[in-house]
Formats: sequence, C-alpha cells, structure tokens
Amino acid sequence: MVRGEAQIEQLYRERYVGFRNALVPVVGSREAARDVVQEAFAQALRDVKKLRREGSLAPWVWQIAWRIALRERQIGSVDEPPEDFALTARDEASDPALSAAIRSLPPKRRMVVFLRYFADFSYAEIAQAVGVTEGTVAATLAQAHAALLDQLMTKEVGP
Amino acid sequence: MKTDSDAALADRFAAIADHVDDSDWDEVVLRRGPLPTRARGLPRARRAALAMTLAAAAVVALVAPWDRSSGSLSDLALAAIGPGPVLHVVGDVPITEFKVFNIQSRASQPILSWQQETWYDHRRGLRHTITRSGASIVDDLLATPKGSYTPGGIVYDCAWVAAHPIAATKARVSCNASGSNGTKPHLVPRPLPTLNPGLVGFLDGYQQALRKGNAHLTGKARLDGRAVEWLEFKTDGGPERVALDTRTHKPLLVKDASGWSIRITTIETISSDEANFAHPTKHEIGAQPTFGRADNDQALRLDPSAISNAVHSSLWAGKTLSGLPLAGATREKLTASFAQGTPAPQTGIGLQLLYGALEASGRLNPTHPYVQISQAPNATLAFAYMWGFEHETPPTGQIYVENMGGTPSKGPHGKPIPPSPPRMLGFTVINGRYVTIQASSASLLLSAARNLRPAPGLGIPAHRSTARWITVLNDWLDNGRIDGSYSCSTTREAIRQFAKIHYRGTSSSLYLYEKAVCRTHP
Repeated sequence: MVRGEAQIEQLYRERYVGFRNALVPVVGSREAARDVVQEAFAQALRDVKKLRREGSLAPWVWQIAWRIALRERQIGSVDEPPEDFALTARDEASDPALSAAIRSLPPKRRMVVFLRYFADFSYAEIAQAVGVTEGTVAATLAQAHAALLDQLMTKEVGP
Repeated sequence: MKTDSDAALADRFAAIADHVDDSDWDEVVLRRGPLPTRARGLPRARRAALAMTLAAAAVVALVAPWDRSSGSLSDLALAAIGPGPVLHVVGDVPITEFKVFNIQSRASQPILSWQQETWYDHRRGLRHTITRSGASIVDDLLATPKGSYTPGGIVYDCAWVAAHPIAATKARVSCNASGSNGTKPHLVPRPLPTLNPGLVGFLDGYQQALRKGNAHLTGKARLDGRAVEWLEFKTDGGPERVALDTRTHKPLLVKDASGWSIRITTIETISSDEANFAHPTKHEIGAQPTFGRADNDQALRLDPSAISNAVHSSLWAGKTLSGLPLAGATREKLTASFAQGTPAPQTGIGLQLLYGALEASGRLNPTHPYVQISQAPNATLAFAYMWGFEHETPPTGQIYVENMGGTPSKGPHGKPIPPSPPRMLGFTVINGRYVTIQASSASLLLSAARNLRPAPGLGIPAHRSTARWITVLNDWLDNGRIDGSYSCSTTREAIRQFAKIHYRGTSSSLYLYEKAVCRTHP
C-alpha cells in the first residue's frame, strides 16, 4: 500500500460531492464536473509522489481539478477564473436572489465563495488552493459576505 | 436581525447544493491507467529495485580515470563483482516515511526496512525483484521482454494494451486519454527492462556522464566503519550517489534525491541456473484489501459506558486528553474489500473519537490542536483508517509515526504558500485494537497513544462479569446482530440489564431476537 494513495482515497470519499459541486459553475453541468473530479483524482494517484512536496492534500487535488476544468472550457487561466463562472441555470431557478448576488461578485471572489460553501474548504485550504494567505482569504470572504448579504437583503426585502 | 453571515450563507448554499453522491473510486483507479514500465510510475518497492540494479551495473562500467596502483578501478570493480551473466543484488531499503517510537518512553526505535533481492540478466532482458518484510513477501515483480508480471498477473502496460485491445477495453485500461483502444491489435515496442528512457539508461548514460564530467567523485568518508568513496551522478530525478567500498570496490549504499536509499548487503554475479526468474504466483502474497470504507453508523454519548457498550473492546483516552475535550464519538461500519471480489469483503465495527474543537461540519478544526483516534478490530478493517501495514504490525508498546503536513510549498508561478497545518499520523496496536491516530503535533499523538485504555464498561461488578446475559449483550454490541444462540430467560435478563444503560442507539434487533426465541422456547 502506498501511503499517499490511501489518503487520496480518503479525501475522495469525504469530499467528492463538494469538489464536484464547486466545479459545476465552471464546466456547466454535474456530469461534466463529475468527469473532471474523477480525472483529477486519477491524476493525483499518478502523481502521488508529489504529494509530500505540495503541501496538504485537498488544495493540491483541487488545483489539479481546476486546471482540468479550465482545459475542458479552454478559457480562463490558473489565476483568473472565467467571467461566466457562476451558479448554473438549475441553481438559479432554485435561488434566483443568491444567483444574482453571486454574479455581482468579481470572479476571484466567487471562486473563494464556492470553495468555502460547496467544497467546504477551510481558510487554510482555500489559501493554499488559490495561492494567497489565510488573511487574504478571511478578508475576501468578509467582503463577499457583506456584498452577498447586501444583495440578498436588497432583493428580498426591497429597496 | 444580525446573523452569523458564514452560517447563513452556508445554509443558503446547502439548500441548493446537489447532494447526490455519484462517486466511484473503482473508476478513479481504472482511470489512473495501467502500471507503466518507466521507473517514475512504478510503486516504491519496484522503483527501488530498478534503481538499485542499474546503479550496481553502472559501477561495472567505470572508466580509466579511476586508475589505482593495482589497476584501473573498472578492472577492480569487475573483479569484485565477478564474471557470471546474472547480477544478483540483495539490499535493505529503509521505509523513511515512518519513524518508530516507544509509546511510554517516547524513545526512537530502529527504523523499518524492507529487504529487496534482484536478479538481472542484461543479455536476455530479464529482471526479477522480490521485496520482503521479514519472512513475508510484500512485492514481487518479474520484468521480461514480453511483459511484466506480479502475483496479480500480467502488468497492463501500453505494449500489452496495443496487442490485446479488446481484452484491454474489457479490463477498462487504456493508454489513450480518450479511453479507446480500437479493436485491431498492433505492435507497440516494449522497452527492455533495463532500458529506461526516463533515466537515459544508467549504463551508457553514466559512461557519457563521466566523459562529459556530469558524474564525479565527491569525496571519501566512512560508512559503518569502512572507508568509502562517494560517486555522484546526475540523473533525470536529481543527483544519485553511490558509496563504493575502497577495499572491495563494491557499492555499499545507493541513494537518490527523493530520499530513497538501499544498503547493499550482497552483490555478486551468478549463473543462469542459480538465478530466480520464476513467474510470481498468486498465493505468495496474502490477499490485501484494495478498498476500505468507514461509514458513520451512530453518534455516541460522550461517556465511557456508552462508548464501551456501543463498541466491543473499545479504547478511549479519557474525557480530556492533554487539555483537549472529547468532542465526538462515533460508532462506524467498516468495510474492506479485495480486488476482483476475492476473498469476500469483510465488515465490522469501528470507533472514532475526536478530541479538540469541532467545526460546524462536525469535523475537527485543524487550525486548533486536535487528536482523532480511529480503532478497528483487525488490520484488514483498519484499512478504512489508512492502515496500510499488512506485514509490519507495530510491536507491542511501539507506534509508527508519519509527519503528513506542515511542509512549505509553492503555488502558481512559484509563489510560496504558507505551510499546511501540521498533521501527524500514528499507527499502533493496543489491547488487540488496531489504532490510527491523527494529531496536530507529535506530542499530542504520543500522549494519545500513552493514554489509550479500555473504556470502562457497564459498571458490572466483577463477580457478575461472567453472567450469560453479558455474553448476549456483547454478541449484540459487536455487530448489531445476535449471532449466537441463547435461552429466552438469558435474553430477557440481558434486556432488563440493558434497559438500565440508557443506550441511545437502535436496539430493535435485540428485542426482535427476544420475541423470536421466547415465542419458540419460552
């Protein structure tokens, strides 16, 4: 048994749904997001030797998944999420106010929000995944909270 | 109204999140693809074998600048290794991922190592490596020009896939990103075991490296009381160093940039008749699980009697551990299954204890000190708790420890990323329970191991501990079923005693058994 493989499997079993949901806004459907997650974990298994040199596991696998997702879309870059990175039409129908509020955020802030609330990443994991400090993550989320709640309050309560 | 914005948004997202779980780990493993024959993709044991063999062979090819008073080093090296056609090398490979500690004294213990034995016939393109842990074989790989073989059968490399496209599709392996193999067999050359393009072929590459000055002597030293000379080579994987015994001219130690090393104990050449190029057989390695899973079965009340009643022979570390409160206890259903369904999957009951602060998700907050203790009734079921030791069970009183986190790393464009939270992993066996400990520090991990003890049980006085009704309850607590046969009166006594315990879990199977046995045998 390769030590890293067991941990990758454990991560997969614990976080698969979160990873998939966080990627749906990028690739547009659950099926496409599933394909990306499956491929990302397969690549993680192939590259398991890099695990020790790449920091903790969840952000490392997320970075692999992100690159695969962008490659599928052929747009965006590692540092800049695509502009249309937002909730899907299905989610928009479920919560139009949240969907509109998300769209009002800059793409990078949206990504932090999705990592937090879909993929259930901790601040430290988000920091590692996007290449910033935890302080920046906290500030970004605070700004996102304020903007989202402001939007939601405005839309739901009315001006 | 002011609300916790994080929780409020979390709820909002949770409401629209797609909770369908369409995961499939088997598919991930298949997507990983067939085992490549290149050294980079081989499991650690096999990669070690390849590097060892080729480094030893490279010593034979040293050139004239190694002149000594009694002749060139290459002549002496050749004389040391001998004229036989098969190179035979035996060495010890330390398992450096783990440190070993005595739980009580915290003193370091000797490191674990595997023994590797390799036979290599360059002319016939054969290489056979057997890896052992003590007397047990942990890996066996035979590489030939026609393919590579393990106890599990042929290795699905790209040459095999090309020659057997339909069988490969059936086995769900492919060397194409699309996954398609076509239907027409075709030839893809299979490199000889010793000719690894990724390593540029040790033998020729090292000769060229010496001529070009890419390999050089780096100095003399002493190794285990013997005078050695270090030779350093540049390889694709970074520098590789070989310690040559100056008296015998044999390589004693080879190590590479990844931290892998092998201490060579025997190196010689032998005849073809003496060599072992037999195919690996199915039964030489005991069945090892390939899939492990722990599912939450029941959240337990945080007191020792509830824990011990729910999980037979459970251990705990107290209500607090080094100042950390016991924050969670879960009885879990464990499953361990095997490749191709043989042998049949094993199931059982595990226990997970959480010490520290919990996040809203119920998981431990890794940014605060924490300890997570998972325990299984045997090594196979402990596979669900990252237990990978089929042959190296920690001796009584010892724990294997691995540092999994806190490593600085780099993100996009080489920007440094703050280290991930430290995470220590420990494996030990206490009172027959196979325990995996995860902790935010080595100190907490060792403290957990030291403080683990049987969770006090039902509080039954010692003179009553052999009562038959105890047996009924233990039978039922083990897996939620009554597997033995008991009388109606004993079962009813067990239920009467059970009612005193305020057990919070489901117990319908106990009552159903009572109904069944008392109806037929009142």
